[in-house]
Amino acid sequence: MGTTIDSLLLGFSVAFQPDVLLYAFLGCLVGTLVGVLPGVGPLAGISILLPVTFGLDATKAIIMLAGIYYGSQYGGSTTSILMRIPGEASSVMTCLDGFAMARKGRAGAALAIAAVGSFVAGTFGIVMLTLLAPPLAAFALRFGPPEYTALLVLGLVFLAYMSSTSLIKTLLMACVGLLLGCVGIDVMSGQFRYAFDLKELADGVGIVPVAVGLFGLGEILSTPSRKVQGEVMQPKFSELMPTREEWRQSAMPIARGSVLGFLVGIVPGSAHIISSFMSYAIERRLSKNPEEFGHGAVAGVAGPESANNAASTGAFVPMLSLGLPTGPITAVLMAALMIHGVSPGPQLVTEHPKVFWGFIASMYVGNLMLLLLNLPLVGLFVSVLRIRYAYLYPIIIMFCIIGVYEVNHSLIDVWIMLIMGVVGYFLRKFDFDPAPLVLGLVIAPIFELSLRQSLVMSGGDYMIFAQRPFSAVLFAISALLLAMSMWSAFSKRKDWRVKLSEAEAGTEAPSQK
Amino acid sequence: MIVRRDHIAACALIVLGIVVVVLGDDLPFGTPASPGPGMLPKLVGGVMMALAVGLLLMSASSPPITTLEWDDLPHALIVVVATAAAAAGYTVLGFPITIGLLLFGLIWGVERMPLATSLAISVGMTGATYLLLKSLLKQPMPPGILGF
Repeated sequence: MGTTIDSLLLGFSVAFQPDVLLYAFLGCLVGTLVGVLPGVGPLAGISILLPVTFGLDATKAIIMLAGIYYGSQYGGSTTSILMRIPGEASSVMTCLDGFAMARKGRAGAALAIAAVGSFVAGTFGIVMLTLLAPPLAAFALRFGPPEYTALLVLGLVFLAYMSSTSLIKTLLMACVGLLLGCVGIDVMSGQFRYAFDLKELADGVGIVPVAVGLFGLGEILSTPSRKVQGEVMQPKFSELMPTREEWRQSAMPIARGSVLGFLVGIVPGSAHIISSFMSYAIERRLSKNPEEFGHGAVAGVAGPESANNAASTGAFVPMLSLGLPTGPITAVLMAALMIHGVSPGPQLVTEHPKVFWGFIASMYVGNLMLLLLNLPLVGLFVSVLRIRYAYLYPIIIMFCIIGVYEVNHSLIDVWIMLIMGVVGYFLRKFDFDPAPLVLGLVIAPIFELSLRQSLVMSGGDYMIFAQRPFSAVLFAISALLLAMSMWSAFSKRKDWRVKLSEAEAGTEAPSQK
Repeated sequence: MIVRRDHIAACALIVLGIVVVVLGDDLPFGTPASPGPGMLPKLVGGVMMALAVGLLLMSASSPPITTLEWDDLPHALIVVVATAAAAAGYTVLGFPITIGLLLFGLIWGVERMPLATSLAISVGMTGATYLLLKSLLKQPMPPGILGF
């Protein structure tokens, strides 16, 4: 414990440097705007702004980019409450009761409860991250190639299990991602694969053009400007304080949402979205007045908003300690660290303590900044919401092109982004979730290397995965999850994933998000 | 027979799997003890085709392809063409001209916003972004025919 506190103090000594504070603030501000604006998700926001961090060191870069991620979770609630449009996919559940509260004249209170809930949950998540990540990283140092192979397989299976689309579709998307990850020079033999004599593809297909294409441009292609409209309510600053009764009603949902969100966040999948749905379902079940849900229940705002913030912090545990991305956003954040010469994973704590602890400490500061930023500046964010989408989406396309081009100064990347945008458009049409594709692309090189190293180690004996205890356990869990998913697919019963996709479809129409 | 969305998606993915396997013909699969560069793509391609066949067989609950709404397609096509034109001109015409034209074309030409506002936003955003990236963030930008 003493070591943790000493390390955290080292982190704060980094996080309180004026320039680091500035980049944390910029990340939080941009993240809030990304969350507020329909049509721009955190993944597109982080990917587009990635090149801006090239001139920074790894610590400042990851602090700013992570600020965009957790800042977007705060900002997403604003449009949900004031316009009934989820600014960010994880705010879908907040639309239901947040907007109903706004119609009753309690928009300010709903925004305040969402902000305070987000702050409490975010801080709880960071405390847990501080306590859990270092011992988990120390444990993972014992992993060899078979354990890593098993861990990555489990990550993909977990993603498929947690997905709100079908198991087969999720696995198909992961396969496409893995195939895209095979493009370029094979690290073990030096042979070119699927590069079509393009030297720009020697290093493989970049994560940024794929992510920006699928989630940035693809979103714009699916969202004609005439579909994005709606009246914005403007709460007065004096209306921001919830009543004593509203505080009382929100206290336990915030606590439950924090714990639930963090636990779900550690698991691969769209945790921040799933956690908010689960929190809403739990609060409704525990409520003495379940009929109030959908008509302005305070718990319906407090629980989901807390859960999605805790989940976004929980997702950093496997990313920082195991080098395992739990979703496309952490995958892009991992790529950002790697661009700066820092490999996330068990060695991060020991080899780059300033990056690791500076990042964690900055999240404590960032959460406080977001609380102070979100409530007083709500009027500013409402003004941003009034910008017409017809002006906004061309500017987003501009940032997509700049962001992608500046990574490698390669036009091929811009063309890949455009192709991926078209692919993303058709994936949405045919009810495929593009997130597993990005995850497959990120883990492909690590997965292939560890799989081939395992086979070389064992002289071609596949039993190595069963003979190593930890890898055997991970493969057993994967098999169990696959069996459970198949059981759900063949049974007629509606499970939570079906309900989640129904809930998303029911409230997402205006922004197509 | 009703053609469903999952039928189309599954067939497209089966074709993709075949393309991956055929294009990877020159990549050695290797042996289990010494896996080659063709092992993972061919394995994943095979798994993908198997999953796509599974999707095909389980597609009864998928909506018919005729229920797909394409009212957003014209807008999507315009955006794709505009972005492709910007990509083609980016290093030839340079950042200021390409991006300025892209913004103006979409805001005024496509969205029919007022001319003065469209012009102001296009020129203002292009100029501000250029200055931010070039001067403050020291990012190299494609110069193009104007030389800056």
